[in-house]
Amino acid sequence: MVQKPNTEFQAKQARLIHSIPKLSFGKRLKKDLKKNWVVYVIFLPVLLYVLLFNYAPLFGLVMAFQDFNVLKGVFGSSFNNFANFKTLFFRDNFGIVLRNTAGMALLNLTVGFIVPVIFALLLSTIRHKRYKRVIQISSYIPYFISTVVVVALWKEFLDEGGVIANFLSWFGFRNQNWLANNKVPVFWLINTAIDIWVGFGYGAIIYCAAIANVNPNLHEAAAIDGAGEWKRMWHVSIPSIIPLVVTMLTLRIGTVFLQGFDKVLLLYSPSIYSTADCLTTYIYRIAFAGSADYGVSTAAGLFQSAIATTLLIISNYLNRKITKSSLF
Amino acid sequence: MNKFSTSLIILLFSLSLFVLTSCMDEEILADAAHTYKIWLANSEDSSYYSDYNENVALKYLNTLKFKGRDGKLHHVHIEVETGITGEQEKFFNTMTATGGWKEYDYIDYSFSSYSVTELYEAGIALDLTDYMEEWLPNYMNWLQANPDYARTAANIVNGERRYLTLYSYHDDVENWGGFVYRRDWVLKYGKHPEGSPKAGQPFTGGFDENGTWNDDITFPSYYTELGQIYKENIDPEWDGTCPVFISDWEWMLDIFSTALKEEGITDGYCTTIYYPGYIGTGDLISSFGGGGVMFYLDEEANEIKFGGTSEAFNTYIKMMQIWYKKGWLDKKFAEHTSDIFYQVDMKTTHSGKAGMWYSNISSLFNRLEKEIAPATKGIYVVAARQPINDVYGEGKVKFSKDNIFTPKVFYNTSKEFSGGIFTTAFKETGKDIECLMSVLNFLNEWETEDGSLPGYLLNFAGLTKEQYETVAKPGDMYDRFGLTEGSYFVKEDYSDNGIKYKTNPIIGNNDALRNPCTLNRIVGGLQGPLDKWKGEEDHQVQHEWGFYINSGYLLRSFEGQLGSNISKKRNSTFNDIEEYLEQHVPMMIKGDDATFDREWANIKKYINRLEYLEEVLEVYNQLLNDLS
Repeated sequence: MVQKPNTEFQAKQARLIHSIPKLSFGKRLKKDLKKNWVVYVIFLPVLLYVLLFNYAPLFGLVMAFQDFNVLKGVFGSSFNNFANFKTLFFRDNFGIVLRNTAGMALLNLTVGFIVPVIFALLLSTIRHKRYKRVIQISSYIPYFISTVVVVALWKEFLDEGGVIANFLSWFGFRNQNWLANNKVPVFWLINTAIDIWVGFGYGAIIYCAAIANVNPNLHEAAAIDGAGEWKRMWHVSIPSIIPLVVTMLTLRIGTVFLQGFDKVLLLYSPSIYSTADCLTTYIYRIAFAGSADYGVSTAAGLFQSAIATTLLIISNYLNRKITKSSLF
Repeated sequence: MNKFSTSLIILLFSLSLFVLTSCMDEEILADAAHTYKIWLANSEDSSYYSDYNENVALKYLNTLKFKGRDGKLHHVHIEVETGITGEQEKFFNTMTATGGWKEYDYIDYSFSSYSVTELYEAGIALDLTDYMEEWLPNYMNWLQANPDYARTAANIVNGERRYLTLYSYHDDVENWGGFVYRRDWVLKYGKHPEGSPKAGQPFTGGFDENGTWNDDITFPSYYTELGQIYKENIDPEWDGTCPVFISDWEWMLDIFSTALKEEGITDGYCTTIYYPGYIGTGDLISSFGGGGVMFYLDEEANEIKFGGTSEAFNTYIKMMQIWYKKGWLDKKFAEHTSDIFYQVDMKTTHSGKAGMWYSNISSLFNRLEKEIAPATKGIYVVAARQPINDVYGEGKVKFSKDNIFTPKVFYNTSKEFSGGIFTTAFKETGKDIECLMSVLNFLNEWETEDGSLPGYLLNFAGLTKEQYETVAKPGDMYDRFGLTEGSYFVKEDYSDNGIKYKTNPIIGNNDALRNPCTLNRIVGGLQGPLDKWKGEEDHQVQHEWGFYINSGYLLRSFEGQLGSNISKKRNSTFNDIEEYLEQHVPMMIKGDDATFDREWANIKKYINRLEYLEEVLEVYNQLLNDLS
């Protein structure tokens, strides 16, 4: 028996709810603490961690506006207003560094982002369970290998006479050490390829879960209507996971400028700085390699964070417009 | 009590016993006021010991007594902490920034990003001026005997000379590295050069039945006019048996080309160079007159100059470009970015597949010969002095009868080596810092009036048998490496070379043992005369590597004079130049002439635009003036 909506009942309920006097925030908190104190206790270490390692260090941003001297410390160093930013923006190679960062980020967001989605969709079409599991597990493995080992492997692959160098020579490319090639966009493509190799399996997990949760009735209905495997994927699976894909893309946009430092640091060399040097490695070198200019490197870090935040806000806004949901 | 509880109790008890016995292992004779902690930048290889405090010489030092502030003799206990290789600079910066330096009474500041003046201004480094005469007289005596080094041993702070650091002085300078080449390939594939009485004939020689090397190799420049000018003006003892000019080197490189072909080595090369395309200390660059790439002292003009845009540097890169085109230079030199300048591509050089390279003593003679590397069969590697350019360019960069010069800026061991600072931590801890100064003074003891062993020997030579027996423990480093008779002996008759103390031949044959069995890592001590049991071959090495005087290289003590403001500008300038050059110089070497000219123009443009270059040069020269 289907119940008709009782709007009068619902209206009565609403009047009842609104007639209950609202408690103050303090009283509500006290009540909630009393009821759910276990949850708060569990949350406490997390809160401390975030405060200590995410908020407290924000104080260090003041170095971006100082002529910072390690020996004098933050309180002893003099302010120089925006001189550090001026030094940063007018450095000869800053433009190149920005270009490289944007180039690698773009490849990461397009090619790098879509591969796990495609992989998840393809995986969902495999019927043989055991085979599917083997493929899935094999795809996760690179994610758990340390970056140092991954880079060491790829250095061998890309070296003259290495697997990839030999493979590319079949297509007319000179057999060379590809990591010594400073032409655009060689290093960018290498960086993206490694990212994909490492992360596509692990990154596909969430999409696999979403695809698995698609209502099977929809697939059944489509099949009855004569849709084949690919058509069902296109008309059923993909539309079902679009909100998730867009949300993940939003998250990715915000962090894309901050990723890949350790990999680039291990892969690059001075002869390919012109295409490989990105903001994070640039900041690292200013801060730690020789001149130890913490003021300028903090300014660079602040600049990078500002860009990342702006991108996150924009992508969240677009996400809200497209999918009607947002992170904040 | 259940099984789990019992097991846990037994485990805890065993652990406590272990900890207690470890603590009881060494008796500490000193009280708290005479227990010191020092930080050293470098430690020893773990095959000797994993903790520097297991150094037997250090254990011996901790049994001695030294004069303290109260005038009495006290036992000291020195505990050492060492830096992690590759992380020393970072650690030092963190230590100074966070106040961690207060844990230490004496710090090795060789990896400091800051000058000692800055450390003093920050209240970290102790001003030793008032202590020097009373507590460090041995150190002052050495400086008095060596006025060239005394000049920069003190820092000028607010117009006054103040002693802020103790430098390690090496009276017995020994070069540990330089250019080396495969003489066996020259013997096998070379021929007597034009001008020689045996011109065109193959060389003869090799190892005799005793394993001693002899040959009749002479180099082509010996038979030229320039060679005779060199002999007359620079080295009258030169007999043509070692290379002195760039032309000699190129003659060798051609021979190495043949050698690689004949030996069937396809993955080797004639020579290689550090990844930026040059060695920052000026090696090979000052072969073209002038100085290095960065700041150097032009002694004749008594002026500090900058070499990065000089004709000498340009001509050097041109030479490298030509070597690259001729296939003499390693095609992948720019890829060995993680190698140090004296250990470039050891995989190739140490497997006998290179003709010439820059190395330390580990490559010399037949040390590289090993079965698993067939290319090392019959290898014989010798040292080469810095060459002089007689091939490229014109005018001041090329040796001629009107332009006689020698290389003046390159890396070699100078008498001054590293430095340590006493921290001001004792002001809070109340330690007897004067007693620690007495220890360092002892390590600078050059000679004694009563005939006892001078303290520099503990620093540089290690322990005699009698000294070792006072601290011997089965399984310690001396025991494991067969040094139970001591790391050095006192000669009864030293009329042969006037040196009274002789290294144990075990160390003589394996110099790598020297540092682990001495206190040499503790900066601020003296290296004095020691008969190191070196054969003729080693004398050849020292003769070649140390032939020219490195007068242009700026001493660390000179650089340490800079105040915080200019030091930062200097560091920033230095790093900007270095970063730019290491990208663009390889392009010049690997590119064509158009690329060469374009990149050189870019380099000059970039360097000339640097904000602080002129200012730094001005300050350097002012300092030079003040210290003169």
